[in-house]
Amino acid sequence: MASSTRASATDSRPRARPRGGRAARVWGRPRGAFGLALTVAVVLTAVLAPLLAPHDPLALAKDAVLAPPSQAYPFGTDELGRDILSRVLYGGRVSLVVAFASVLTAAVTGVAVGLVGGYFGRWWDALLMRVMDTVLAFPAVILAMAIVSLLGPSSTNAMIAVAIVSIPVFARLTRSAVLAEKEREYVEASRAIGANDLHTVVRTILPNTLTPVTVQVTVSMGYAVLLEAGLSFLGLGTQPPQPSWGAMLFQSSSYLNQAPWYGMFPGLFLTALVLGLNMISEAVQEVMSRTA
Amino acid sequence: MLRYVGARVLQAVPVLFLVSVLVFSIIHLTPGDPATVLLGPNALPDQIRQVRGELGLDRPLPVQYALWIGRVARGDLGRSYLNGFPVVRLLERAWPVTLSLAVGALVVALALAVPLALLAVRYRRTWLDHAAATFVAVAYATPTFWVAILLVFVLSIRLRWLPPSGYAAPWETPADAARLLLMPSIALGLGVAAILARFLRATLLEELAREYVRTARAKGLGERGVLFRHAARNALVPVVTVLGLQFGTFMGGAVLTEAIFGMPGIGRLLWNSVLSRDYTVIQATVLVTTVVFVLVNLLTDLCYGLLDPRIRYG
Repeated sequence: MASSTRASATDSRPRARPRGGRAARVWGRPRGAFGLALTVAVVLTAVLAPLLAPHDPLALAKDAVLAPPSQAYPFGTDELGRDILSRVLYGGRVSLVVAFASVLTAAVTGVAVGLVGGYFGRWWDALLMRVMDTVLAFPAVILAMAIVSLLGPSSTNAMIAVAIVSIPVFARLTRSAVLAEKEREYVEASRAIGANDLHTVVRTILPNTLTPVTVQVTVSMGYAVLLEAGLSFLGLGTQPPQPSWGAMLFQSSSYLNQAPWYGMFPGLFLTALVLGLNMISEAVQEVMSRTA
Repeated sequence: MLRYVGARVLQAVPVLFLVSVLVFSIIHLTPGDPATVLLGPNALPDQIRQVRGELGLDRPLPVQYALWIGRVARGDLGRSYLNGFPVVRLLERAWPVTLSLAVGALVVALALAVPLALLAVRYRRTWLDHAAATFVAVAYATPTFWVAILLVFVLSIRLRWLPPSGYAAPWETPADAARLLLMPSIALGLGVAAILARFLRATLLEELAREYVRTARAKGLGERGVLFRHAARNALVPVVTVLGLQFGTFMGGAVLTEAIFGMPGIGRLLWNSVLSRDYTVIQATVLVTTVVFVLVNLLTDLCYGLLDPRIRYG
């Protein structure tokens, strides 16, 4: 998974140890290695979908409706005769793009909110944190559903909904890191040599608050994938005929009698991706808690 | 203790206020005027004006908010756009369903997590511990709705043991209700069981490293006695907090579970109203579930303060 690899790699540079950077230690753990392998495998199938898919994911085959797995259709076909393998491969792209874009948006927004609140304090802090508390007060899936009901169901709006429910964690983490860093001598030194607020916040404090944010990015990714799939399952995310794992699972539940293999593959891919992302995040957390 | 309760309750007030403002604005953020939505596209301007007057939509927003919150406080949550049914009645019918699902899932979660954690700790670093950890990781990563589909496939379609969907009230036909509730409870409870088992294992290991355990061992108490009589008791206290914090996840999972198993609960009510853009019902379900969530969090914190004095003086 490119996101956390890149994030941990840059993060490990300033405090690299003789035995290799923190990123290397994450992948050196059995969990980290397994998680990475699983995630990379799923990501590759999604990225290479145009090369790997034997059929057009939207092409209908009227003579092969709900066909069992065969040489022509390795995962079988769905109720409209579309190739399930091709739809699973293409469906992974939507899941990954939505999850990645929403976590990135949430991290950037949350870090900005946390920096402003933590650094400027007083009513800025009080106002921003009450807003974050309010977002946290809603059960995540329910807030996401309410947001989609206002914006209309689509993968873009599902992404916005997932991003909004993920912001407060990043804001709170950054804020508490800033509160701890603000009192340190190097911040005072930076101010003493005449740095303005913007410079102090962005160049001096921000780099030292990124460790918890990196960990949270890895934690949030798995959750974002699950939430997007849940919204699509309910018909509120990616819209037909575009393939998505959640929507395929929903469709498959009507054909459990005739075509039990239908939901098996989107379910397996979805679970494998979430499992891989969770394993990476656990390995990252272990490494971070040892070095902290 | 009283001061702690007071402070914690006061903290919840601004959050509840902001929640109510946001939920109130759902109606006003919708594309199209509520009166137009209510009357349909062929309404005459006069009719629209009249309904706007009746709904108070021509008044300034703060006044509308005050009127709305006043009605909510009296238990009037408006009428469904779709069928004109009072929303309170819909909620009254849906709550018991979701509540029975929640209780069922809670039972499943505890019944799975507690033995799993005790086993993992008792046989730590053996293959049993690793097997438990693998099970927990997979259970945590598997989406509720796929678990549900797999359960229906195995237990209803292949083995024909349980009906695939439906709901019966536990106080009317207990046997049917139990059969219908079993699969939804497992589907929803599995993820919570995973979180709980992992947490419980960690706290048990923490407790086992403490002085009092060393004392207990020194006086000759066996490993089983140490684990069950001492460590488990202390480790079970924070479980309350974990369950409280998971309540939000629970509510979200309930939407998906109810959708698959055709249970007429709050989650399904919300889902149907989102699909049909029935904004008064969306507004009411979001408000009620969120207020309950805030109160559960409040109660969790209070329980924790009660159980652990360090929190309330901290």
